[in-house]
Amino acid sequence: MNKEIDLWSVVEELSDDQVKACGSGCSCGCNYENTGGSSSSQNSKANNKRNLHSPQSNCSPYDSDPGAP
Amino acid sequence: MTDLYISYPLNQKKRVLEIIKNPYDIKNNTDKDIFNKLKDSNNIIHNNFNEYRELLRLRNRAFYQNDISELTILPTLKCNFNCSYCFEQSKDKDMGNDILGKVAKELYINSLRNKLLIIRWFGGEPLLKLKHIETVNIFAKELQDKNDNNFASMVTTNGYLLTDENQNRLMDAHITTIDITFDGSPVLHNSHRFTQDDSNTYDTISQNVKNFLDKDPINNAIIRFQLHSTDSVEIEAVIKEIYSFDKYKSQINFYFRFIFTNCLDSWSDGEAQQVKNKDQISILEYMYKKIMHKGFSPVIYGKSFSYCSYENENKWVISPNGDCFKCTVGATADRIHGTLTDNGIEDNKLKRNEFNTKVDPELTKECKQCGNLPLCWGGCQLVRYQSSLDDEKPFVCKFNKKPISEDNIPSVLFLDKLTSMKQVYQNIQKVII
Repeated sequence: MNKEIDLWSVVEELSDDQVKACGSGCSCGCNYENTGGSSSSQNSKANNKRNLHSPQSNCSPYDSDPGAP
Repeated sequence: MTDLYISYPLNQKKRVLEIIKNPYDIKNNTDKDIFNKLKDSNNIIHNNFNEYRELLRLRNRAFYQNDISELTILPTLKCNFNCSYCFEQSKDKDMGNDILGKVAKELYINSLRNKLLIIRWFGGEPLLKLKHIETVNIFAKELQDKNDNNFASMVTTNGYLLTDENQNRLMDAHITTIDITFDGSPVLHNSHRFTQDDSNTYDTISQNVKNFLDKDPINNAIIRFQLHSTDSVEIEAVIKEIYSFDKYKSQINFYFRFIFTNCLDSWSDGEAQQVKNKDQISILEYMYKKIMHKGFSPVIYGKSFSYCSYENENKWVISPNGDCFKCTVGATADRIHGTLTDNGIEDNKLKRNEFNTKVDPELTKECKQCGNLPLCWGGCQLVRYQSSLDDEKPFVCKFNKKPISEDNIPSVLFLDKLTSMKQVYQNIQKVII
């Protein structure tokens, strides 16, 4: 496979806290900023956070209405 | 607001119009059915319902919805073509590996909330940097898959380098959609679009696209024909070329654009505000009807609650050096709205604040009483912003509160008309089948 660089090794530099589960000002109540994963694996790191996050997907500071048009 | 078209039997036409005029005049069950259908489709609404506020709510949601990210990445500004009208000013920039790394970080940081990630490749000619496309797309697909999220990617290419090998590489990089542009008929195209060494390009592009579509039924193309002339010979020649794609009808969508000037020259007017003249409208209608009658599909975008999807906070154009824009046209220093960093894209908050301060009150003031708002959404925000900086040329909306007539159809409203035309042709085809 043609690849310029290994991007997975690049994102290893990122810490758990930098992964956003939801936008700032989110009104879904997930309080994601206080929930951190602890796994060193990049993928389980992401999954830990998702499990703690509300399933609400259309989460915006302007509208917490669950239904998308 | 809902983009719903509803139909009634012809013999109910008079009654439907009466009920629209006076919804409280319900006399029997038929009237009640008519009323309910109008009500359920939001074609009539309660007097106390403030439509304008609802439209602003929907617009805000379109601006701030954060579970879809769309990045248009320019891996290079270099091009193998030398088109007569090209607006690109800096043609010698390539994206370096450091920027690719920052792109990956932007994707990773937002990977949990990106229920859908769309990456569009643009340029320059993006196939000159095919390895960049492969590197980022394969990473992005793995990332999205691991979070059970969706990924889509497409490339806007001139098609000249779409060789068999490159087609395979694109497909391996999860790209099955290509955006292609022809500059009219083969003769006119070859007079506008040539390679750096002045070679003709039409036949190669056309054959490459057909080969790509032949390769896999899942492959598809969005084909744009630029119209440089309203001459009937030219128009018929373009239609003939479209017919040459007959075998691929189910894999392609067409659209047309009049182009008479360099893009940057016409930028201050803004395409949103261009009122097409009567000749152009009738030519477009003629062409769309001809191709739809043959079973070809035009490009139709779904209902939108903002003029441009890139007004959303999570949609960006990333230039080769990491500057982030809100539009691929005129990516110049004064239009930089963000920067790609090791912490993802950092919005220029001062710029956004200034932007919103200048643009939104104007939209609120001008558009509040305008019935065209749900269709045009105030036009291009960038055009309004640019105008706000120039005291001598204030922004003037050319179709504010004006009724739409046959010789006064702004570009964006024509799309709505096209939607209804497409439905008519789909219904005709159903009847024929």
